[in-house]
Amino acid sequence: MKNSSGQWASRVLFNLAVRPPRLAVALVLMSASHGAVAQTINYGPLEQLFGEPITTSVTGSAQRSSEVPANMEIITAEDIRRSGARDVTSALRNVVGVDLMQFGKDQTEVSVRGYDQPFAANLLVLINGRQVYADTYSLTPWSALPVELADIRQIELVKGPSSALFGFNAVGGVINIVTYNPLYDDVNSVTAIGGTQDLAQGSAVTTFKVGDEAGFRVSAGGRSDQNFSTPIPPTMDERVPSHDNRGSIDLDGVIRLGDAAQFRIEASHTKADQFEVSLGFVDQYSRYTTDSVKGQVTADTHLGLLQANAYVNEIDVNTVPGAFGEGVDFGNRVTVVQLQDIFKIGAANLLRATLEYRRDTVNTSPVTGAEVGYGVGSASGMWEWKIAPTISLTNAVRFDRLALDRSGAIPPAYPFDNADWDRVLDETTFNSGLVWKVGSLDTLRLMVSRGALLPNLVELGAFVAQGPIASITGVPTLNPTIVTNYEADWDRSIPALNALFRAAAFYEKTTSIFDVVGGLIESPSGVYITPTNIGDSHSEGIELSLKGTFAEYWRWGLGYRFEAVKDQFNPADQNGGVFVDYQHTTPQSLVNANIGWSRAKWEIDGYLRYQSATQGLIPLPDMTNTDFTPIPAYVSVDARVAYKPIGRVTLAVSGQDISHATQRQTSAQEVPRQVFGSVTVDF
Amino acid sequence: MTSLFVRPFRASLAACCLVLLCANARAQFTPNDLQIAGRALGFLEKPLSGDVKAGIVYAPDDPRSVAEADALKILLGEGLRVGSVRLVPVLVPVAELSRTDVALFFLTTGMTGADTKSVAAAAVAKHTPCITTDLSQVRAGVCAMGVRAQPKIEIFVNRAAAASTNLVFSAVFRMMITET
Repeated sequence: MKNSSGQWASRVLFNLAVRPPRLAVALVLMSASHGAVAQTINYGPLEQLFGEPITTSVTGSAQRSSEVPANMEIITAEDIRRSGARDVTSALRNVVGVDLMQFGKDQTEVSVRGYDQPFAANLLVLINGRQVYADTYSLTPWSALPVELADIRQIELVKGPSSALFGFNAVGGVINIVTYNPLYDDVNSVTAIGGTQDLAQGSAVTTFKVGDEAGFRVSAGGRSDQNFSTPIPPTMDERVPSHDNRGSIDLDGVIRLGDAAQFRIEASHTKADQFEVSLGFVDQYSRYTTDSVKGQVTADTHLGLLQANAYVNEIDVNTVPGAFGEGVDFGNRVTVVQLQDIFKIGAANLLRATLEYRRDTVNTSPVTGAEVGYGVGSASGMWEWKIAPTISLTNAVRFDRLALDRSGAIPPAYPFDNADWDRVLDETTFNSGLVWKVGSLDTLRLMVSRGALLPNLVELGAFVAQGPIASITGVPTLNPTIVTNYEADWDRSIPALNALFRAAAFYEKTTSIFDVVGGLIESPSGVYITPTNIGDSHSEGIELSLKGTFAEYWRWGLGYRFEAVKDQFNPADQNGGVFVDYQHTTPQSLVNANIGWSRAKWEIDGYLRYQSATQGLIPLPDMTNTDFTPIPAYVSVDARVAYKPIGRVTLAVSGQDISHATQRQTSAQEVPRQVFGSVTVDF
Repeated sequence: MTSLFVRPFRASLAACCLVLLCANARAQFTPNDLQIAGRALGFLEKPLSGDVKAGIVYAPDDPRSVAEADALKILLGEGLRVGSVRLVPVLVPVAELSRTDVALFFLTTGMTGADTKSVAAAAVAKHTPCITTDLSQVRAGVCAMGVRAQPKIEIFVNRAAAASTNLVFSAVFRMMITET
């Protein structure tokens, strides 16, 4: 009965969400006939007007970054350029409160406020609002993101749960990568990079317009390099290839539909071969192939700002050595349809209403012949109430109904049949934030939020490997992880220093954490190792930052994050027993510092990152468990020097982890010094 | 019982905030204020562009108003380019409002009650929005838009005055300003 009501709800939401886009688009176009301004956000003029970055990543509506009801960092295009980054994860190295585990040349795991691990799952990553997070493993394949650094206007990082806006998996934080809009922005750039570890990288971005009615952006990039040559811990060494490659192409077009509406279409393709450390802390070699198409209609109407989105992602992951001598090959397809309206009631109330349906499927592997998936119907709303000119209260709530399913062949002696996947999950998530501008210099924020992390499709049954002694399978019985965050923030402008001080205190409770191993099922054919929910965890911490400019040419920043994590896992699952431990592997202290100088043709920047001593996990020789290995406290130093010999050409030398020849940062290979030079031509 | 507590609390809160907002409300236009006002005009549903005649409304009998009008005309010069518009100044004595054809009014401080009524009436009659740095005139409905550059960039719009003077902003822009 429960299942049938879930299927009914899914059908209703599907019908609402899938069939009516044509109707919705027609309504949008009909109601947008009063000559309104077209409405994809033109960030540049808004930033110039308000003197600060603009974002839509907190409530879904456009907001000034200083007014959002969330703890948010915006990494601008200038920040990215001056960081010396050669990829997106490098651009996040200097952000306060961001945890990084650099397992390989092209595998850096990123999380917010601890809880980092291989295949970090807590951070939902999007490009222009489209999910690029891969549901197969609940990870972000950073190398396979279809974006070049020159495409990026800004990277928006929201700390803490944001499931009420983005749905499942936005629990530790959200990163939304916002690219330049070809209707408004002109970006034409070619970059070539060469460096240590045989790095050869190139990218090109161009925009062009067709009259005043349409703008297009095309970007492409490629990279080839060797993974680190430092020794691999013996129990992690699977002797897989160490040469990484990446190729990517991205197309983006924005077309005006009259004066009141716009149509945006984005399409991309990437392929990335990558040496990486797996969830089980062993080396593997994966090929990620991604394809995506997204269409969006936006219109300013008498009914509000209407938006209809639809996109399809296909992410294939082919991994060796796989399990029991068989490679693993997953083909994941995600289809998402959204309909949203943002409107004002009176002067003080801004509301958003959203309906969404998503369908997510993947084949089973290495035992093939079946498909595991789910449909999720969602309804969400947001209400921003300006109680007074200096006080606003924002509440957002979202309801998701997920219907899990499996179809196809049942392997011999398998302990489940397809009916075991006929399961419905209901989740309600929320974000509440009070923002109080106290006087002209201070802003206080009080926030509480609840997010939900879904078990990935591998853990939900896509992974099926049958061995001679024991087998491995995902299960349909896992429960989502729930993250609840309580937070108080204080921002203060310091005009005398031309600086901004920010402080945050947070308490985060995580329940029903699941892990890829830890469960056992007896079956006639033997034992199956399964994922299981292993317990809870909580953390408390503070973040402090101060950044500013002085003497016209200088900029600087200081940041500190303290966090204490306490795991409450089942006794058998403690201390790395199931390849997971957050209490001992999350560093208590992180310090960031940077100073930069720019004048005329020169830009010089230096960055320092300190991480306190912590523990890493490393597999035992029998591979059934992990043990701790100490990670000493370390300081890493990055730097960039850039010079413009002529107007449109920039020559730069950048270094990452340059203070030591090699440095232990994780339980895997030590991280060597990385130095590279680049030539950029803007035209 | 709840309303007995909540209503006085909200009223007190709003009063406190208005006091904070009113501090330094009567201020002359600065170059930054003009930048904000000019750029905001780019977010109208029908954005202004090119040369825009900006009437500087002043009270000839009030030396402070005259001085402010002269200062504002100097700031605008032969025409100040801001965003997609070029603001071309025209001095407008308050008594000549009805005979003047401009795209918008800049209201100087020092107006009497009768003067401000004239401005409000002319704005409605000619569908010409009024812009000021005196936020009390926005709350009073005399001007449709108020701008403030310090300590933080703020834009205030009186919805009723804006509607009666055809000052209609795009939906995205309206999400980012303070409407009264």
